[in-house]
Amino acid sequence: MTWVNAIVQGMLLGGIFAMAAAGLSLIFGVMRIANLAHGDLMILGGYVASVAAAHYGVPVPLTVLVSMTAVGALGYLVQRSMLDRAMGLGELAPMLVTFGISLIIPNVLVQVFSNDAQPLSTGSLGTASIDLGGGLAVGWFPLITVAAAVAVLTALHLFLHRTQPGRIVRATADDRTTVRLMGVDNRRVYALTSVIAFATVALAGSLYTMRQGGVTPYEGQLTVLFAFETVIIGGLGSLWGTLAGGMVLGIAQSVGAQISPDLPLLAGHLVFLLILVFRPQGLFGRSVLA
Amino acid sequence: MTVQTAPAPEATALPAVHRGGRATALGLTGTAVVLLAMAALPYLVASDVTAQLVKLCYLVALASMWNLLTGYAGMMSMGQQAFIGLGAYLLFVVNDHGLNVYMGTLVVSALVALVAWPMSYLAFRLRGGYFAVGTWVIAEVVRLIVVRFDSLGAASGRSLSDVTADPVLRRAYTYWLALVVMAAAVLGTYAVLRSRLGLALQAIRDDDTAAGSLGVNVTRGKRIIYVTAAAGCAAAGAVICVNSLGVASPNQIFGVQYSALMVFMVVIGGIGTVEGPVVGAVAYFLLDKYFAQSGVWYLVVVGAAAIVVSLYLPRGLWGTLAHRTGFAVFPVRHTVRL
Amino acid sequence: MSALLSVENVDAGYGDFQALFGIDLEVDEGELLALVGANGAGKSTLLRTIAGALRPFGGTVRFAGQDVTAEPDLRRARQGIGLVPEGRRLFPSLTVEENLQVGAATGRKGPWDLAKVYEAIPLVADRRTRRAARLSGGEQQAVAIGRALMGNPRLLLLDEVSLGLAPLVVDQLYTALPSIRAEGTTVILVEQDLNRTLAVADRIACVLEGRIVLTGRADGITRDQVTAAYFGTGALPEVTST
Repeated sequence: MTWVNAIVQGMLLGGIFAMAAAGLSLIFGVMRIANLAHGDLMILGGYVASVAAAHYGVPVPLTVLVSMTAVGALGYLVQRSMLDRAMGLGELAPMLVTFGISLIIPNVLVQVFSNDAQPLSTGSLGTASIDLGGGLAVGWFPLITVAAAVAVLTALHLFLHRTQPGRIVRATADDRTTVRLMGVDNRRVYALTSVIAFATVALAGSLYTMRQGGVTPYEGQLTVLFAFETVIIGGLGSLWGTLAGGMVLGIAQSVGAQISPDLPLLAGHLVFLLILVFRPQGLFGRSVLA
Repeated sequence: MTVQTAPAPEATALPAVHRGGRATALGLTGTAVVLLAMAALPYLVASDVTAQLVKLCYLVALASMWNLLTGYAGMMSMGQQAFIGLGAYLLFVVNDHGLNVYMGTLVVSALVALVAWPMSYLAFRLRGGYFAVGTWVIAEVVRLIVVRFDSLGAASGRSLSDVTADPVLRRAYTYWLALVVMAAAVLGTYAVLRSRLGLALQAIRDDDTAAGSLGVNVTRGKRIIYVTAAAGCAAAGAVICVNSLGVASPNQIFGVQYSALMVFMVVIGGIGTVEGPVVGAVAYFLLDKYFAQSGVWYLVVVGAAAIVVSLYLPRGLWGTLAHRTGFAVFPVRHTVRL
Repeated sequence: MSALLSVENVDAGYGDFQALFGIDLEVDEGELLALVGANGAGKSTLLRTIAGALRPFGGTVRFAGQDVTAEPDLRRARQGIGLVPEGRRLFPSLTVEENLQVGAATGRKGPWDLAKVYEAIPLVADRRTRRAARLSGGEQQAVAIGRALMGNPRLLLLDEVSLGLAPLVVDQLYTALPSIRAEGTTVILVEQDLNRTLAVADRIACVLEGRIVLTGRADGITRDQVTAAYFGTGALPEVTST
């Protein structure tokens, strides 16, 4: 039963990875930028939620919204003030900018909040679980995160495929110069994309922080890898693939942990590398070799 | 030491393709003078000066390797720490088998080149930003595997078992080793760029599809560079290990900070020039020497500087200077004279 | 009556390469002007300059009485200049219908909507759920025209409509032209087929090596005159439009 439990826990963990990966995938799809700061933005989202709860008395469930708003706004600023300019300078410049951001965020966090974990407790919800019998229990909170992941991915899918702004985002991803002939300001599309991506990663970070009960400044170095691995395992350009990718990575890590407490990271990375070798286009996606 | 292999142009109306010429001779002579002066330093100054220069040397070597990868072959790696760490750890292995650390450094870079070759097949499945993160994951895997070996000190690092006993001599040897590694990295980069491969590389960086259609073997060129850069980083890793008589912790030597460092030095100095990484390494060395005490704010400044330079001075310090003046210590471009 | 579009003394090109030299051109509301000329004469460059996709080195572009020389392409699209670009440039991952819907992003009100486009260009209607990447060349061109119409342009710029297409397909495309003109839309057309051009155009302008060497009413100009201008041979007759 412990193995079944490990798999269930892994799937629940995968929900968070999928949420984090969705924003990464979106930014890459529309702007061709690999956001190296994505993991740190996730952690920043966790910090914002935590600080909102601890210092401003915001009720814990609402901290998620505070975090999404704040980090989403940051997305707008970063896109407008840096990435727009960087995109005009070639392929490397945007990556270097996000790299710079990935250096700034954790070190500012250390300076302001120290290296200690910044706590964010969900109280009784954190421990409450549904007993499925046979020693199998599913925590309410992990369940909520998976529901949130499915909701976020569904909402993103509907937005991109059923609304006019969503169609324009996809058209811009296809051909950023031609949309201008339709009166579309591609830079506003980039800004919108960044706001959505930053807000979803803040949501992922807030839930990640709540799940662990707290967050430390340098965790972004791990989560950025998880987010990228999720995207590649799932396959580029497929939102449902992203969910599956998150699940696969989550299961690999939690089964790894079941084998030995020092194995979860290695197990996750190895599954990623195996998929890279045998199915480089990912489980559900188009080829990443293009 | 003049390198003039190009045949003299025939007395026809054909335009002559020219490279370097007198500038090359001057640049190489100047470099030789600087290197000789640096080599003589242990006889001239106190050993704590050369100890600091060891750091500068391996920084230059690392920056040159990252520049070769990214600036010339268009592969942005965030995973060179895999090879730095492997260099250090394999040095333990060869040192335990009785090889001295100086010869060991050479052996270790060859070994890492052998390891990097199959790894390239994995890494090359990804491109652009995904390549960057893929190399990072590979580095993590290498770290997580290395810490599983108790003989290598597991998660707590270890010391070299056999080093030169006399501290003065040891410091001098370490410095010379670092100097050789640096010279090899810089001059090696220059040699690669002036070779046929160098020309192919620049075509790959500018447009690899077009380069491929013109008969440049893109993957092979990239692979050679990937392996070369891995060997170079391994040598630097071995120097780091020799310099501190071991490795304090695997998390440090396999840390992504090394990639951050390389990015910073190359971007500040000027990506895609031979001189840029040297300038960037010196800039970082000075920044580190005078501001490292100011804690993590200094890393924030490093990050901000990387952003500002890549946005407003995309050629970097040296690149901007060279572009304005047309000056180069290591000229690699061809000039057509009509 | 002042012209809808007037191009005054425009020089344009790419980087160091100059493609257009002192172009002067006026187009009245409701008119159909055809640009003819050899490959590389500068016809596409002229259309791109009018659409704002290319900033001219010098000269002025006026649209509906306003100087739009400094306006970027997206603002001109909102003001009513629609370009069907060379190579069609559909959004490959979007369906035909989605491509058309994105065309409406100019936010302009007017006669054109999905129903009317499907009615005017049956070729498009049959493929509405297909991804643009999976269309034939003729279908792509039809969608590209439909997409531009969805923006309800006052001035429609059609670049190389029939390039690389079978004559039968081109016939089908041209059936849409009367319904476009019936809405009062002004059209500038780049077309290689001289017979077709003379049949549909009100006026013709010949472009040779970046200069307009001949303009005239389609019914007052002979094939020989156009051919001479096309190849830059013979003495150029001085024909002016009235």
